[in-house]
Amino acid sequence: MKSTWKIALLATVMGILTLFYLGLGVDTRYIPSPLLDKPAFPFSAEGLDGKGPVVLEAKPGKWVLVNFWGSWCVSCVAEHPYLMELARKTRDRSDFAMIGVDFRDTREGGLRFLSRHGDPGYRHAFDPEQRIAIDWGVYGAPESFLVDPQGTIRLKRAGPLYPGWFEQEAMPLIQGMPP
Amino acid sequence: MTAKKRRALLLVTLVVVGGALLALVVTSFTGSLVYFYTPTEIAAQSAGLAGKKIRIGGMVQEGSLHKEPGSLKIRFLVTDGTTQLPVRYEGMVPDLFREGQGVVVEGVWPTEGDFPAGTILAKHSEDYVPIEMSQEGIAKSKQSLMKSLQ
Amino acid sequence: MWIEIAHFATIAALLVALTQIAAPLVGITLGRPVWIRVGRQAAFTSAALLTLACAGLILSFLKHDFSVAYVADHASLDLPIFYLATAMWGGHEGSLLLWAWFLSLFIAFAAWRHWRTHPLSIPYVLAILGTVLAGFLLLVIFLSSPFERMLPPPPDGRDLNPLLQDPGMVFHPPFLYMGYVGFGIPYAFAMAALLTGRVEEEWILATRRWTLFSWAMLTTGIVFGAYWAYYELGWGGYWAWDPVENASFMPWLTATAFLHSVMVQERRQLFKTWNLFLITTTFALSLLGTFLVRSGVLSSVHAFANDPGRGVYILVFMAVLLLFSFGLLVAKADSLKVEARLESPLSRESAFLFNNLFLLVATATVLLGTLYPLAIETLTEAKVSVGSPYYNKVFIPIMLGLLLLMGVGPVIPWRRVDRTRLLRALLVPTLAGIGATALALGMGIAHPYGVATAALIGFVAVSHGRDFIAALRARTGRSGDSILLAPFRLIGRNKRRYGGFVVHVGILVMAAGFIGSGLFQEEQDLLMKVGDSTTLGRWRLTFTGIGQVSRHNWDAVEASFVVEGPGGQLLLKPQKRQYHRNDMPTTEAAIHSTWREDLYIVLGDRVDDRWAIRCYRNPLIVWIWWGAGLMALGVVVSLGQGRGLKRRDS
Repeated sequence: MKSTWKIALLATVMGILTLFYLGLGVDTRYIPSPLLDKPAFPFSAEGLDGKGPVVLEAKPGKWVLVNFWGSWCVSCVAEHPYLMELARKTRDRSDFAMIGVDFRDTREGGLRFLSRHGDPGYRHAFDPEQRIAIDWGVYGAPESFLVDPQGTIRLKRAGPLYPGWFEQEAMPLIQGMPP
Repeated sequence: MTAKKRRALLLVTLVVVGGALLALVVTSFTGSLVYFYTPTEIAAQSAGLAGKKIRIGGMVQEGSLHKEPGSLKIRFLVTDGTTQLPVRYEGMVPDLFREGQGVVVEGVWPTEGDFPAGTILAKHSEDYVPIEMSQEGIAKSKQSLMKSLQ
Repeated sequence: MWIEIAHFATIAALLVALTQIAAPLVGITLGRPVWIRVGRQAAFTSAALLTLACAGLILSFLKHDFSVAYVADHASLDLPIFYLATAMWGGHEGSLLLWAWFLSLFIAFAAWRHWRTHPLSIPYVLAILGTVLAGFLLLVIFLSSPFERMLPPPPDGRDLNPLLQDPGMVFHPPFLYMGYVGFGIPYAFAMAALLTGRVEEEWILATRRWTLFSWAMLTTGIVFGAYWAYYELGWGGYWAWDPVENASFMPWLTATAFLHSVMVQERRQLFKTWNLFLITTTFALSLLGTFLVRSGVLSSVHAFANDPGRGVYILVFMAVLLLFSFGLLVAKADSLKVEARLESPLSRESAFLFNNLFLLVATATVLLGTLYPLAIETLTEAKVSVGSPYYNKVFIPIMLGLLLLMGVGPVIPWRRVDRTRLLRALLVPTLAGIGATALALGMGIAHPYGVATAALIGFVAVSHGRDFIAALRARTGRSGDSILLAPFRLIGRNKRRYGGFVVHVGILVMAAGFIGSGLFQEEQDLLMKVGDSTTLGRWRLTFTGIGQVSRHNWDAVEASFVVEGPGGQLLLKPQKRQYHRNDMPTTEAAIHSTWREDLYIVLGDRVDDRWAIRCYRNPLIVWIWWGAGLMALGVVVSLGQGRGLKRRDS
């Protein structure tokens, strides 16, 4: 084998590996969400717990994670342990809060979900007619939005949040823009 | 023919055939690339696109789907939240095509008028449960829960 | 309970696999054969443990154990038992376990079979394959575990994706994986040959049947995938050149090149480095096919974004394996001495050379089309896709070139041939080609590719047939076999050659199917109300009714069509199905197959009082499935022949 061929072979292999390395973070089917970097729709809705309204203000003054879920959604069960963990970890932060939106559900179903799978401690808006969900363009569950202190949607995730999501995706944004 | 000549002939044939194949690959390749744009990107540079095959991705704007009665012709707006782009299409749409859903349309950019889509690719995500199953889902869960308790 | 057993069995298998890497290497270094024997026992043990692990996972499915997250994600109470058992490989966690299981079985079989015959290679083979197995098991255990519990369990699972509830899709992954994994054995023997410095023909002879077997499995797997796409996806075609399909096609192309070029090495001691390169590339592409498709770099990134660590791990694993293999090849290549040379462009070895050239260009074509969009997207902001027109433009000429070589290769001798003899050998096939051209034109085929394919099919069929008949004559003349028995005796005498012939005939049948369905498909998009009729080719379709049907896990809207055709009347019922546990409606095309063409009807949406209907006439499509069957049969015949280095085969 001539040395040019040897070099060409190894260079091709290295090239492909490098490409894959660079390509790791790229989602070839990703299409930007229409709502990204748009102001979030503020809402004030009845709480799932029945203890007064749950409110998202137009300018919340802190980062808010809004999580849409329903007791009918199996992926929400899969996601739930992470939400519990995240709520526990961020309980003492003054710059971050979480709100759940239990939509297209029955109150009984939503409450049973929380008693079965654990109550993460933050409050949930109850949205049986999907008013909030439609405003927010939610078309499945779970879906999560990260809203910045000025009320702009900065991240959207369709599907369960994964362990490490907060550190990897939310933290860089939060650190870049203190309230 | 001497052995040397035969070898030379072999080499020449190899180079010629190989070269022809590579030329085939390269010419086919450069003509077949289809670029992907969002409606906003299109708005910024539509002049240079005429006659090119492109894909446009976004969501089917709620309330924009218009079916022409008595035919398979439809019109709708594809939006990325900032810009809307009118699209027309004739034919059967994929199972997952509907308002509010992600969509990718492919076609040749026209010199004027709506974008004529030759192909519609509906997008979906398997990773999470779409809303429509919920009511039924609740009933089902109840049923199976009862079953497992018995 | 079962899932924990499976989990522990897998962890134990990992430890055993690590032993399988270390023990043989220690044995060689110390010169203590007993250590190598330990490696062999390890191979058997890990196969047994992984069998247990797979059984455990399948049992969890059968018992509807939704506390296992993987089961909850891929099954439901409604799922029929057949799909319940096979849902084990319905997601990527389970399919990686299946991969590892196949690999462990093959290692065990190789360790048993080649233990006595290849004592020098076997320690390296065990260590190399042990590394691959350990790599997979680490992934299965730590990054992509199907064994995780989800407590408390959901009352019912999410169900298997309805598109996967199809026999074609059930068999597609296992066959594909058997093919992928099978190439690991020749690859490991090739690496062992480089490491021991015994780079002569030994490794090729040792692994000839492995190569053939894996090639057959891969072929069958790919065809199952195409069959599934045709019957289940409802777009009238079977192959869309999407990255997932391409990933399985690339190793097939290089493996086909390898199958041919090893013969040159056996007979003429040529292409030694080339063969090592081909098998390494084939296995590398197999890994690429499994990993990068499963992990999502090439397609949807869903599974991937959930856990970026998995991607990094896969990449590191690939990098280690690729750099080791190709590095070793480059380092040791100079020790390969080639005494013989190619003598003439008119010789069988040169036909193989061109065959390899075509197949390699084909591989490069697919690789380019698959990776280029990723490269563009990674390096620039633009998004780009490479559609099927590109592949069709390149692949039809390549297929025609390969068909031509296929007609010439088997009938010309090694080394060189003088022109008069060659012309005499090819005269009749050429005439047959011309005859086929005339026939095609007479049948109204006008497309140049259609005509060329017909001509080449005639050419190849007659060149193979004439060769077979000549051999048959010689045999009946010599041994006085009866005319009925002689063909079987002849094939039995040289299973390898005539098995190859059968595969070639299978390819001809398939080529007819490709061209027929590709160039002559007819399609109609209509709006019909009950009572409407339409004509498509020789068929007259009347829409006679629409109704609802239900099964235990789906409901469907079903249309009825009375179809009048040459064979009388028939009833076709396309459906639009809605599975209970999934929002995605699926299309169940109604298909009527005849040897000439398929009639394919798809039901679309309702538009006022009418329904969107799409119907296709797909000429010769069943020839593709029959061709695949013949190819499999040919390989079975070929596998019947054991090793034999100097056996005359012409």
